[in-house]
Amino acid sequence: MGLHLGPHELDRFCPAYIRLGRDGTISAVGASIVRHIPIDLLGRVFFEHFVVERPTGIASLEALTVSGRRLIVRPIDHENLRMRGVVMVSGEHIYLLLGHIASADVKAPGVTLKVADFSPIDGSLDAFLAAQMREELLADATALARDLSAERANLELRIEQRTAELAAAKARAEQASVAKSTFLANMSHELRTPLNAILGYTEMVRENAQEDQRFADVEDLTRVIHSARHLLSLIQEVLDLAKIEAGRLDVCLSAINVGEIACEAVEAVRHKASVNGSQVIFDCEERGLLAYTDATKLKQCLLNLLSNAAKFTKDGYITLRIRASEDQFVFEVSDTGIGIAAEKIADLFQPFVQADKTISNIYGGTGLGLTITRRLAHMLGGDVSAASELGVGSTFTLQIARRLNADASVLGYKSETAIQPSAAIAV
Amino acid sequence: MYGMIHQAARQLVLQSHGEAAWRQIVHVSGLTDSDFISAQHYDDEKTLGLIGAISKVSGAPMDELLVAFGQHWITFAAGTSYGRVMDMLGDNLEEFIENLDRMHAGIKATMPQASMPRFELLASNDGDLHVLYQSERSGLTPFVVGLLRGLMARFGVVGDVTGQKETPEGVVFTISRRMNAAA
Repeated sequence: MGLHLGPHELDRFCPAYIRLGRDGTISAVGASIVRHIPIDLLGRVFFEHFVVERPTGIASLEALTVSGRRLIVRPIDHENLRMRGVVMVSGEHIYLLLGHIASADVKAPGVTLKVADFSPIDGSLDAFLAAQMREELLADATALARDLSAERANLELRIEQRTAELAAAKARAEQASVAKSTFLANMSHELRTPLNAILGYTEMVRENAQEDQRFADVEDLTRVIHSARHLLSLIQEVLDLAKIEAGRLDVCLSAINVGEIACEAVEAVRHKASVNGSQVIFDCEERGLLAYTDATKLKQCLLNLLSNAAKFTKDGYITLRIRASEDQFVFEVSDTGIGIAAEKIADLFQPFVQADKTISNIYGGTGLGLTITRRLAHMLGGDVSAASELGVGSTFTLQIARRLNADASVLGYKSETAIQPSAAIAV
Repeated sequence: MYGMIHQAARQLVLQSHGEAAWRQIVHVSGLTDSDFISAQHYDDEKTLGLIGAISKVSGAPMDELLVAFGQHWITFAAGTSYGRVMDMLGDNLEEFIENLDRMHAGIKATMPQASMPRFELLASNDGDLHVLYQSERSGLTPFVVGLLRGLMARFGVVGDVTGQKETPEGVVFTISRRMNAAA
């Protein structure tokens, strides 16, 4: 076996090489060995300065040369410096071609490995660099985990603070709402009482004027009465809403026929509709529609919807349909009136909102009717919704629970009493 | 480039401009926490976007910023786990530069997608150091000037990078050393 590398080349590829004579004395060493072991090793016996750790038990040059295995060699005076390599025999020389083994102990006292100690083909340095990368990655992971943990704690604290703020704000809002409703209810009552007196006495004065044939006075007093009634209706609506919001409006349950209630509501608005040249159509022939609910509130809902339809429909039709299911009654009030723009529908049920500001100027009203209707519908276990097309007409759908708080058997009717739509009947 | 560069940029900004400026820079650059993993490889566009954002927010010209960043990189890296590696590269400026490629080769063994620059100390007898820099990237020569200044400071070399010359092989930087007046 020949080795044809000069000392310079050996230094380049195996800076920790050791060359021995056949007698076991050191005849040359690599630059790295020289740097780590400052004494002059040349001519000294290898086994007096180095120990072969692997394979174990090698203590002679002969055993060294015939082992054929990779060696791990350590300088006797340097516990932390280990080198690994192979043994080659060339002529009169034995070469230990060694490289350093990087470990956590590379910075042992007096022994500091440098990049130059690793040959270009020695992967130990790469492994050492990879180990540093791993340490840096672990540091990253630790920092990220710490940041996330702190962020999470901060977030939880902010959520707690925000929740407390929201709870306080909610409590304040509820208190304000109750106070407002109480104020409105009281004020509405204080306004309504003197207004009723004004109306009563004005009607008396008008009767007197009629008898005295003072027709100009009659005309003026009639205007006063109309205005007072209009004001009274507005106050009544405000009072109703205030009562609902203050939780002062109770539900009075009784067994009723919703068909009859619907008929009464239709009759109440028929005149108003006819003034506008419109006709009211009640599309239901079955009148035995039993429910256990609040008749007054149901009627108020229907009156609000039908009145609105009558108000906004000129020379057209207003149709009421009733559908029944096992759990619900559904009332549909359709008209061929002015209709509502699609973007306005969502706000219809908000207090004091009308589809168009000009509407209140032309048609009057507070914008509370639909709000009250929805609140009442909720109290009746249902809801109200709207669909409309501008210039074509609107349909308002009122749903209420069929039995608010009673067993059907008490009422003596069965769910099979479902209503079949029939031919339209003009009322 | 790899995320350690982003970490170094973060430290530089935090030290020089504070937390609020850094938050603004992160917002402008669009980077997230996951862009600051040290051994993760990122597209150069992301790194240059970060440097651009720092320039925009701080008002510093890109070239000046790259020089400052290069200088900072040396002290930043020395404070990480790679500080031990840097210690192994050499005890003086020449030895360190000579061994840089060996270190980069070792890093590339773990991160094969990383594109590493090459540095070579050219033979010279004029007393100056001449360093050949080769890279697949362009536009980073101010960063190299900063790196060399940072290394000079590391090894107590008094002087400056006085020359920069384009050659077919790459860019040759000249480091002129002065005798320390205190010495």
